[in-house]
Amino acid sequence: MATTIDAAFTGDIVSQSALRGFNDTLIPLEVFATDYGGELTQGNTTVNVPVYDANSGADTYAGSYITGAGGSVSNIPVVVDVHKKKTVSFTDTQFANTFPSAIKSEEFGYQMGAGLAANVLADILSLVTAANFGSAAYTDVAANFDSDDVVDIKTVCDAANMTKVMRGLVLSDAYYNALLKDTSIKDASSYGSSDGIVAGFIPNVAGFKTWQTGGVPANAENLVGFACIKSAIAVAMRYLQPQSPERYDAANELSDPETGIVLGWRDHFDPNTGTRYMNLECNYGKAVGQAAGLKRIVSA
Amino acid sequence: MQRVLRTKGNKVMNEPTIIEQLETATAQAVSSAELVTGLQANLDEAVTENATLTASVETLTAQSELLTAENAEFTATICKLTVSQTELQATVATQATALSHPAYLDAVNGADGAEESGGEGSALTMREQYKSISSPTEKSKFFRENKTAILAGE
Repeated sequence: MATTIDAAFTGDIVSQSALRGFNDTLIPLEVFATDYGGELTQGNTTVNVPVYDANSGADTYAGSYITGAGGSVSNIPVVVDVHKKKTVSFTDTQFANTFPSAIKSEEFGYQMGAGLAANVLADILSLVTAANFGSAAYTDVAANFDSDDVVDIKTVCDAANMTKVMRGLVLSDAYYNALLKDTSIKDASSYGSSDGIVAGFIPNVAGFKTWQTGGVPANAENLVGFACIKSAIAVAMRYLQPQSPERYDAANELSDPETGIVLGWRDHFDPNTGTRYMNLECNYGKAVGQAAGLKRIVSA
Repeated sequence: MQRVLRTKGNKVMNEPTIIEQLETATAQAVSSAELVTGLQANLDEAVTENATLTASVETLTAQSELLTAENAEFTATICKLTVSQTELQATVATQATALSHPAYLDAVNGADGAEESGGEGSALTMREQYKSISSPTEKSKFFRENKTAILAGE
């Protein structure tokens, strides 16, 4: 028999599960420079996200430790001006049929968070265009994509003098799965791990930490993935405090203990219609950093 | 009555007669007898008092011996109580140390619950402990670490 929960605590389970779903879906953002946390105190707050150019040449010591300061660190100003939310509503009947089960509340919350994250990720990845980052490092259909192509992309990144550490490779589902079919990856004796064939997970390929995402936006860019370093794009997130939090049944910040991602949660009930509204919201901004820090992968 | 004594030259001299001397001696003898009787009475009385005092001394001696024995018994009891008190103090100190051990507190309160609620976590359910956390990050961390118990309604 499923464990029942009271209506007041349902919001906590849904919101915490939503944060988990949001965070798991937004994991590919690790490849970018991020600044999460804190509270948005005024509209369109600009957050300076620091990026470090690891390839900036080291100075030869010339009698002091103050020359060359600041040459390798720069700030990317990010305006936190995007406010996305997921709103779900439940009549008393719908709520009674759905939420007495704690497990159902958890599953629902996770999907709610994952849904918002996919929307946020697609918006952030809309920055990955030819106009912002130049010509593609790879152009072909998923069926032809394999680990040798990843090595070719690496060669392009090397030629662009991208730092060889902390490189990330983000691929859409079709291209990620194409790699899973590659015998050099699915064969555990060849790859050195059974992660691919067992869990459908590819930790690293050719020096890239690898992520799969369904968040690549469908647009005229034909984007299916990219290779990058952190300085390519900067992302900032802030919590937006309601004007009158006491007017809600619950209005609070959600903060992920692992990534620092912050979300807002608003839960209230409309007695006129007997409907409960749950809102998960994300306030963030995005900006292009170093154009040479990202190489696109396109299908055509 | 005094007899007039005649001496040479017809000098008259007053001197007691034999009878009078006997009467005086008799009176003295009677007085001495009465004195002896009084002294005997005093002596008897002193003997009686002596006997009474002797009996009292014996009684007091017995009581003193009894009190001495009781005192020894009480002293032994006090010694035992002192040892017991020392042992109890040591036991209390040992138990206090054990009860303040982090492992015990974690087991009773839950590691994060004790931290968040100032050690009063044992009196709160998991959901109540979660509700009492104010930091959004700590709240999410606690939820994940105790999700099974929270979802189970503990």
